[in-house]
Amino acid sequence: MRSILVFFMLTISTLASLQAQAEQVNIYSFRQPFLIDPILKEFTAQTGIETKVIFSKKGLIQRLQREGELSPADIVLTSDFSKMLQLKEKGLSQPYALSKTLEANIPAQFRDSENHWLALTQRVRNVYSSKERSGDLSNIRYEDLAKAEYKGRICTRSGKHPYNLGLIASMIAHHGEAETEEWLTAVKGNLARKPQGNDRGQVKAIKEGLCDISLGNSYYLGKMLQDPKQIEWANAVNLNFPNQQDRGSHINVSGAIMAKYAPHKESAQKLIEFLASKQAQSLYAELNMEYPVMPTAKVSDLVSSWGTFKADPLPLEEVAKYQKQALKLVDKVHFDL
Amino acid sequence: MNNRFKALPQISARAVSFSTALISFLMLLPIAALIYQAIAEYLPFSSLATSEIDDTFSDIADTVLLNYVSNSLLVVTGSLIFASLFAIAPAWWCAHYEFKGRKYLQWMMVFPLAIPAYISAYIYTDMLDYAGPIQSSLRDVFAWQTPQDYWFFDIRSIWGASLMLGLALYPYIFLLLRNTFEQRSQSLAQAAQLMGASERKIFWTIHLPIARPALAIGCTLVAMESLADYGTVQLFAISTLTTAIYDSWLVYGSLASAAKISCLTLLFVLTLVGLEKNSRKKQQHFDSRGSKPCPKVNASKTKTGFIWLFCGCVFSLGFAIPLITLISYCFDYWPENMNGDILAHSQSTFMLATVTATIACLLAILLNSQQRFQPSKSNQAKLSLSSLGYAIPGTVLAIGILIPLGQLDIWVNHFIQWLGFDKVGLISSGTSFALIMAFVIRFSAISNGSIQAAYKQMPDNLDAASTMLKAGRLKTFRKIHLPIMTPAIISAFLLVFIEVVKELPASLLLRPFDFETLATYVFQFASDEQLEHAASGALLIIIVSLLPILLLSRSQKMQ
Repeated sequence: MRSILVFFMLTISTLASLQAQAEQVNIYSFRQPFLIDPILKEFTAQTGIETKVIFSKKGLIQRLQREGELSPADIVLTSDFSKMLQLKEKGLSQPYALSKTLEANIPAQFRDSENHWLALTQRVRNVYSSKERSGDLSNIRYEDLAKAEYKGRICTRSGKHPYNLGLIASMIAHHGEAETEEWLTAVKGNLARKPQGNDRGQVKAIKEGLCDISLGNSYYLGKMLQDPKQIEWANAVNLNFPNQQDRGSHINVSGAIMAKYAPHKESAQKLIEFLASKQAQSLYAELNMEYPVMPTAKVSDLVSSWGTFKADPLPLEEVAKYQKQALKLVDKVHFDL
Repeated sequence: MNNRFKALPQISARAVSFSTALISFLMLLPIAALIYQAIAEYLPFSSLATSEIDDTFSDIADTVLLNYVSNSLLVVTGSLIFASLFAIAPAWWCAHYEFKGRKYLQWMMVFPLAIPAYISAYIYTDMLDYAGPIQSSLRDVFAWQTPQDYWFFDIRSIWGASLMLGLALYPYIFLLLRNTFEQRSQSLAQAAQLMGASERKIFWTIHLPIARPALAIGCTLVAMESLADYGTVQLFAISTLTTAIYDSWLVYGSLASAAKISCLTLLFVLTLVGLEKNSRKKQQHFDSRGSKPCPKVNASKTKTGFIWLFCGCVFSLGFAIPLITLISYCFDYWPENMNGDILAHSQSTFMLATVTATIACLLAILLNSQQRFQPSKSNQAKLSLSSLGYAIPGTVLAIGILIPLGQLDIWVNHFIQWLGFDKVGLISSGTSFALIMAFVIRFSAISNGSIQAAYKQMPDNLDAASTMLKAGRLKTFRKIHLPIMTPAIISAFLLVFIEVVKELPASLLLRPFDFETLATYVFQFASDEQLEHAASGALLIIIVSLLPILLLSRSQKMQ
């Protein structure tokens, strides 16, 4: 009896706190709060619209799906393109209004053709190599990772991580499934250890001599350079942009998408416009040391010191088609086991 | 007057029976939702739900499922071995011997419970990895160059994960066993002594078998917890059934196949619990008259030394080393760690844990005492069913809860709109209600187990005596059961409390807007391998979980 009372009282108290507030926008975020907080604060300062965030690396799409038309979410911020495409595919998104600013600031390949999603930053899948032991690898191609000369010298995180899945999917898009399977099997054979840890952990392993090259996004180099303990890992490696001589490096994007049943649609539109503004683009890119999608937005000094690169022009939607096949391949070749 | 006395117990018995049925129904709801999800595609009327064929499960089954199953079994077995190794002997020593510092030691042994396995796993990986300080300095000393030059224990392995889980979970077995050993009766041991049995033989043939319910419940808790673990195996890159559930649901996007694999996991647990129950079906406890708890034996100096050495090692591995490392992280990254938000997060965590633990204990008492007064198959079933939630990984449980609660919200909103009011939103699935419900369902196995063990220890003839004296059930419960099992209730409360503070996956998914628990706060950093930046949060988790342990140790000392 008492427990029922407690339940009841809690429900009522939370109900009371749920009372709709003046202007706000609710965000489901796959991106860590400390990355987006500064930008959201700026947004609130400029517009007076409050932001509320739920962060989780996993399960937010499924949560949206379950909540259906009652979902409080207005905006979903993702850290890779497959999640945005999944949201659209599952009918959990709605188009935003394509304003002049959006059209001018964000190049067409970074926008959904039906205006469901919008990319905000680009993230390159780089190859890190040991300064001491690897020599000059600035001409390396993803395809080279399967070569016998790298036996026992490669480190990577799990094959099922979205960043690696994106890369494998782009390999399928370019070379077909059979060839990619061969490639992936050979890469697995070249691994120095079972896939584990995150991109930073691989650089650490290079520093310690456990392996010589690893896959990793470029912004991690910037983050490591800012950390007093990790700076020596970062100093042990070179950052290489693969496939510069042919199709260009594989890129992934972080982005935003408007939830289908967004209760604060107007505020959500304002947030999208803000995220695509030059100020937010520079801020967003600088905070996480990524590449803004807006060509004229400022890149941080550190990032610009890494030089320019050629990106794979294949549309993301094309790559995303092979995401599931990529996942099946990872299981088929027992990449993570 | 007379009539009232006769009628009252009957009405309340029916009400109790009804409410316990309702409770176990509610607790089963998420599991039912999952099972429905698993078989929905085979049902005749499901064609409208999904038109495309979902072959994720068969894909996984064809390629990696077998590896996942065997890895899961190995991790569970390994954790059980380590946990028993760390728990059984110390529990016996603390209950049987009197030695210097016993009072402190018996509480120190519980401290590792305060550290979530994924945090100590993170710390030990950092320390024992190839790139960590230990291997690096070994390489410096012996001038080794490459990993091929020497062999070193690989922490990121099945054994490493088992060790981490064993260290984090052994206090369950320790606590339950120590309670049982403390209350063991003198007479059986005396009889055995008279017949010339050695102390060792008495332990193996009398004390340990009598403690078997507690041991079995402790082991079941450890097995279920390690089966459902995600954080540690994820960090160690070991693919288990939990990984398969996460993958198929969150990566393949197939809830149906996630539900199928969850059902497979459930099947494991049911078999485990069933086997265990069946094997001690015939066991019963008969109290001998006037039996007092055994007096403690003074331990010799060497024995004391050995006890302290063994327990000291377990304590340092499970608690001291991770704690010291966290403190040093905290100092190394001082500005990142000094953050005003942390206090607010610990407050909300504390509230959440208190409410959940209270509810879980009340439910456990209700269900168990009902089975005690009216032993029946259906009451036993209610009890077992309401403990099932523990076997479900947090994320899956979260979804299992969102399915029915989401539906409920839709109905409520439609109803309210039909009445002509504005819709109220997600009043059950979007508030702390969902979170508390998830925690109660997930951790009821702990409170049930602990109170069940207390009841098993309580001889039946106490109730018979009370009935003879014309005491009603309520009175028997209040005057006899409650005082006897108060320690068990307190430890049940504490265990649930600590679990809630540490719980991660369900909190991540179910928490309302602007609500962080300490665990979710710490995790956003740990998941990026930057635990250093949230070390203060991790320390707070430890402190918040330690508080109840310390309180308990104080109250017990006073007795």
